Amino acid sequence: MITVSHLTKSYGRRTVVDDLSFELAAGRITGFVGPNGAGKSTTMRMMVGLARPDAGEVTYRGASYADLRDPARTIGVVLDARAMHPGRSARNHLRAMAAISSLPEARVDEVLHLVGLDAAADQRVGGFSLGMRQRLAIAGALLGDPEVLMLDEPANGLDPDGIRWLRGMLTSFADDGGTVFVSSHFIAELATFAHDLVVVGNGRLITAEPLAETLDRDRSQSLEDILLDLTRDAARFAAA
Amino acid sequence: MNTTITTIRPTSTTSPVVRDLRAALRSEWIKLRTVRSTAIFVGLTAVIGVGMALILGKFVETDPYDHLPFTIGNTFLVSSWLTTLFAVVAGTLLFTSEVQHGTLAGALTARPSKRIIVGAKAIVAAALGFAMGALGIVGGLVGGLASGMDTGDMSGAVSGTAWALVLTTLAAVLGLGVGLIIRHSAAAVTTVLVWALAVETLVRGMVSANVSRLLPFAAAHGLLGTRSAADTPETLAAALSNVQNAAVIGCWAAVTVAIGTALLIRQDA
Repeated sequence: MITVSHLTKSYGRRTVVDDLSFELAAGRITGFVGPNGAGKSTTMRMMVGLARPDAGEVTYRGASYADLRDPARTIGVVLDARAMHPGRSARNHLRAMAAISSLPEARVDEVLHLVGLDAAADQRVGGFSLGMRQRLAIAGALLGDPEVLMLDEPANGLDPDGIRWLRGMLTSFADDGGTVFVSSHFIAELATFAHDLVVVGNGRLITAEPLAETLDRDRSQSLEDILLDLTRDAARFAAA
Repeated sequence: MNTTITTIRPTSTTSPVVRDLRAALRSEWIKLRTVRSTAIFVGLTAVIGVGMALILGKFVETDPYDHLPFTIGNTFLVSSWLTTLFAVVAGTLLFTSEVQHGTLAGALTARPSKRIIVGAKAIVAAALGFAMGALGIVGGLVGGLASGMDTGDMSGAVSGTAWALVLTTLAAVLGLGVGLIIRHSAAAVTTVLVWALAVETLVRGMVSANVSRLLPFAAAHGLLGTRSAADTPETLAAALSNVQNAAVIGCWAAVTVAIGTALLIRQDA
């Protein structure tokens, strides 16, 4: 169980996350949605210790992220698929990740196989498409066989086959008891496999509820329309 | 969850700090060995070592200051000044390239202790600086032999080599400290080179000899026994011993790393 309690973060005078609280349960896929600039990425960064909250805390079964003895075995994280040295091969990228998490090197080939990058393992990441980088980033998140997967827009750049693979992988992960926390702008796709939703806008929680309850708000509307209605007043960068 | 073919070992019972540092060191070593820029830096120091000794032995032949012929004994360390600058740049890039490519965040999610990450980088920087220094010196010897120079007086060779290696080792750590503070590759490298090649010379001209000898690259010249444009009879008279020069550079390296670490801890990754 992951508990986010009253998380608050400001940069200068701008409050980007404002008293955010929600819980993530094991065996569930939680979609994290909201307009651009709603604070989703900042929230995820605070959840894995990359940003220090001004207030509030995040606990993993009662422990803070910094107190986890082996973070990679608890939580696999994909925050930015571009976060790779372009001159390094996929295999060496994962080897470095495995080493810092004290994971066996044999695990590298396993996760490369899981994400379908066996053939590209020794190619430099600089030559990868965005979709290949996404797969490699997901491979990195899976290295520690974690209990939790936290993914920030993992479907970006994936082709339809890749999206189907991702959906299947996340569903299987949750079915095996894992916790999935995934932010995405592909609402229609989320609607096919998420169990719960956390909706934020202007850094504040709009709603945290099972997907079925969100859909029940208006059965005549798509999930996308419902979410757009919910976040209408919170969109910082709305199109004209 | 996934079907795991490899058994992931249960969590170790070693001291957490030791275990985390070992893991971070292994990762830093892999990162260092698996990018072309490392091989380029290291290869360059060897090439420059060979090249400079060859040029001095074959084309210049005599020292323009004391008009004595160049020998292997007084030229094999000649590239160490350039190697020092390369080592500072390499140390800088050890950190700034991680920021530039976003891989620092990945390291910190795996090992949330920023001190551990910096500690591992400092150790790897030192090893890199040492290796670059050694290769430059070996290159100087090879170049000297290839040029046909006389061996000359080699009585100071061992101590000269030792102090040159101390310098390049500490220079790489100093570079890491600069990278930790400035964080942007181009800005950090430019800062370090402009300071070393121009600003420090100007500063040395403005301050007393006792202060001048405490500047990092003045101490570097002192450690190598080389002349710099800022040398005056006063600065030469106030020169520090090799141990003191090494301590000065070591302090600069330690202070920059400490400041950089403090900034890193304060800032979001």
